[in-house]
Amino acid sequence: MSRIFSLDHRVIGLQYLFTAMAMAIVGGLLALLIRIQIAWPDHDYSWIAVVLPAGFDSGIMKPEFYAALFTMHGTIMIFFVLSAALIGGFGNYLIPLQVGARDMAFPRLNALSYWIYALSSVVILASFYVPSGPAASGWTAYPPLSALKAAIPGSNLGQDLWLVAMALFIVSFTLGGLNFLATILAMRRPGLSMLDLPLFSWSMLFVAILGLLAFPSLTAAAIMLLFDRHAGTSFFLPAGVVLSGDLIPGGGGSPILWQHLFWFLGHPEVYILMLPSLGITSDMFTVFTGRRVFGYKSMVVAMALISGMSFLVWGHHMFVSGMSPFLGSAFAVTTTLIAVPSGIKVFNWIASLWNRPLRLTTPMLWALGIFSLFVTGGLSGIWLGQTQVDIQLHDTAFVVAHFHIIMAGAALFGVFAGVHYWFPLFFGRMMSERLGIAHFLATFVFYYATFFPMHMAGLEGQIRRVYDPYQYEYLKPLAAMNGFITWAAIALAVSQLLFFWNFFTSLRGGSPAGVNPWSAASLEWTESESEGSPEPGPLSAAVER
Amino acid sequence: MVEAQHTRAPGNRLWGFMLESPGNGGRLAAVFAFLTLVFVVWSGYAIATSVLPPLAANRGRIDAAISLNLIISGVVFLGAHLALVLILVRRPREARIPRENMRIEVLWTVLTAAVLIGLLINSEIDARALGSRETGPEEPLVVEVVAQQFAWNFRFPGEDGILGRTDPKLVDQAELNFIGLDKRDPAAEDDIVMPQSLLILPEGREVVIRLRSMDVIHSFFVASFRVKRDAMPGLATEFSFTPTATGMFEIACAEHCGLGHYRMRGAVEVVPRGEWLAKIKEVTE
Amino acid sequence: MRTVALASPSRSQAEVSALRVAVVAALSATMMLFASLASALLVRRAFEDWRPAAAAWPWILLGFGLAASAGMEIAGRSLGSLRVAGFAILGLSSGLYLAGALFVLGSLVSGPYGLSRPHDAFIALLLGVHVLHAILGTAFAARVLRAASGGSSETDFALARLVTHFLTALLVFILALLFLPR
Repeated sequence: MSRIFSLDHRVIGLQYLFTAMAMAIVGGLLALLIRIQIAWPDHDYSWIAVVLPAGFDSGIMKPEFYAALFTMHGTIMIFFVLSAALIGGFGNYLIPLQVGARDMAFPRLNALSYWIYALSSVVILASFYVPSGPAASGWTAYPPLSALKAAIPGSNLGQDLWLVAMALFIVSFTLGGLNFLATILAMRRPGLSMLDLPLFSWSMLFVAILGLLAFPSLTAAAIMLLFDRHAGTSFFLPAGVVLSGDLIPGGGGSPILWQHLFWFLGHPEVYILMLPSLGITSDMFTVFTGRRVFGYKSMVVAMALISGMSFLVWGHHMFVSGMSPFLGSAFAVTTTLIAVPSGIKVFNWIASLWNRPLRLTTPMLWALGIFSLFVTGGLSGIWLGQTQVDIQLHDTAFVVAHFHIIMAGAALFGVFAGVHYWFPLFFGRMMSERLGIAHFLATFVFYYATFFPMHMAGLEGQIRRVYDPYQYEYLKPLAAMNGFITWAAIALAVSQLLFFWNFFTSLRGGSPAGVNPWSAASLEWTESESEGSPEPGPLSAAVER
Repeated sequence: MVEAQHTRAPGNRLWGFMLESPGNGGRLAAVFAFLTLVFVVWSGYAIATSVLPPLAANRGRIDAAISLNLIISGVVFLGAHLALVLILVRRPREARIPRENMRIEVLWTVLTAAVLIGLLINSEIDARALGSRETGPEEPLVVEVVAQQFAWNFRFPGEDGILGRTDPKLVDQAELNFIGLDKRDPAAEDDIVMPQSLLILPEGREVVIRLRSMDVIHSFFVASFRVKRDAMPGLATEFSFTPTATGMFEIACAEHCGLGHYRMRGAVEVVPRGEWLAKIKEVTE
Repeated sequence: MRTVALASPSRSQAEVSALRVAVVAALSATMMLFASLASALLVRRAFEDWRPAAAAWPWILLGFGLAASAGMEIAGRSLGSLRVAGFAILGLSSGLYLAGALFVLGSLVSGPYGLSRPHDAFIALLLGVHVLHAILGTAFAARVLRAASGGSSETDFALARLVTHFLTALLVFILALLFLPR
């Protein structure tokens, strides 16, 4: 029993990782259902209806189920999978090791963070079994759709459970953030300067700060939404709303207020997801070229700038909401300029790799994949940051392509890189390189095959969150492209079996790993024990700063 | 630290060149590099040849901006991925790349910022142009667009040029009064209410759209006009454009608004100027 | 600010430092929460249906809050029975504040308009969230002061004072936002 409620940061880190993996399967299956519906909307899906009878009507998917699918896919992937794996999982396991501390600053608080996250996962999954269905207003939960129970079935109990799950998740993340900050800033081994730390540790520092300062905005908004739903207030509900012919009483509030509060968190949140992978990539480049990244200090400054500026760009999600043109211009400026520190990272990475001998291990491949995704996804972001271009592309598949490539893709590849890289640390064995390479190549190909064509679909006018695009004449020609994308997505999903196979068979059957199988210089490898504080290993002195 | 052993392979120079790539699999690097190249070529071609819906309004600046972005991002995309490919296949030289070089960092940072600022200036110019009204003697045509779950309501102010009063309490779906028009208001007498989800516009005359919503947030999107604006409940926003081609164009709702979001389709028919009034009378009879 | 306290040698410098970082971080997060709520209020206040009602209870709650801070100060600067008196004032005032705030919230909810009027809605929102933080903060301060072996160290007092005064300042901020004329 004490093993389950362990206070050891390594156990807690693995608990986060395994829970996130389970949630990833759910999130991935939801995505497949979405893709199947978009590509072939009028097909008979009776064989799926056997497993999910509530979502289908004589084999045809119900539109409200589709809305719940994209809502829950986004919510689960962003919070319960990627944040949990990268920050809860890797962060918890590695921060104390990388900073030379015995454990996190507050081990009991750390365990509590995990269990609250676990509880929030149960709540969000439970919402699938509510009679009126899970939340269906998008992961963005814009009111009045999310506030009025009659607006869509999912806005009944499902939306409440969504809000409760999010509240619990935010508590978990906040407690975790306090632990991370306290450990990195105050529990570092004496003599270890911040500038000695791997860039992954820096990314955890910034992620903790971002989370602590940004999540409260969503907390505030969620409390107000709960009040609007249950306490008769009108924070977000304007006067004179007529839903299906019925006048809703009260009002005077502002739906746009929700958008401001939501995106004030929402934008830093996407950087929370991306920064760990940026840190991991730099560290992989360090280990597998045998030399520290080019411009280590600039990389730190770049991460700091990206983090700071992430608080100033949220309005770019609202360019077409009718906000004042002056505000629009201001946000366009900040959004476009955040590409400057991002560019610094890309150029420094190229300089880190140019003319260097590379060890193309699986983690290194994933890091190179992140490099590619960061460039591709970052560029499409620049398009969207200009107000006039955004008019045409907002709420189209172009946006879906953008964030899946840069945010989801970079985060996902970061998880794979981290798992392969730290597997020997976690479990004392190596994962299979062959399976790892095969998994990487398949994922790299199918990831781009799935998401790159969405740029074109968006340019040709395909809107988002649409149950049946072919209701529109002008979108009918996109049927073939959508079919292609769905097949690529199915191939992508199937490819992940390679990872799970590799992971689980290597747990028992992987070749035993030495103490430092990658010849890395960071403390999590060069320490032979987590207790006590032996001198840094011989390799750390050999790596030039 | 790992130092790769470099020896010149005899025979075919290209293959030897590739086999000499560092890493624990020169072939792996080659395969990865090849896949990257395939991706770059395929994606570059695909996006460069993708076509926006045919332009039918005076908002071609957006098309130009998209083309500009395509070129600039294309260069960076190609450049970065070419660098990746070269990194994978080139034989490394122990060159004197220092671990830090402030000057080069400043150089590429300034270059990036300059390009981005150029895009921003262009964006600002475009935004102002797109947001401004036409200067000309002709009065724009005002259209009120009211979105609801799941249809579009259109109304012209008629000859008095004033849109009649509406009141949410007067909404009567049975009477087909979807927007709550107050029929007792004299200004409402000559208002022309279109059949739901059908808008007819004259070609070449500026249109001012006054957009709002009855219930949840919707978004008025006509891909061919390069027009998109959220329809907010409790707030009316305005924007303008001029249709420049005749034909039938589809209106899509571009903000998730409920289970009928996918079928919230409308039609805009643009007819030659002379025929507009007659067409309106025809459909509102 | 000098406090009369005993040093606690069993906790390392790092642990003390870590606690300080955590408390400051937590207070920053709380500040952001109230900043978000305040910005929502400022937006809403500009609408024409904002009608603040004058009342006596804000002054009463404010009094309790200030008394709690005063009690904490007394406890921090004294020893022996004066310290105990300080803690008593702190405890009593906090309890009275909580009771009073809950009473205000209850009467709003069960009143004729409920929370439908915007000013009432924001009172419920801000006061409710503050009550939650007051409970958490008081529990934390109590724990921190009790946990140290022997007497409470200077740091423990510093943290407990910080939390107490922060909550009081937050209360002043909320009441000013709600009741000062624009």
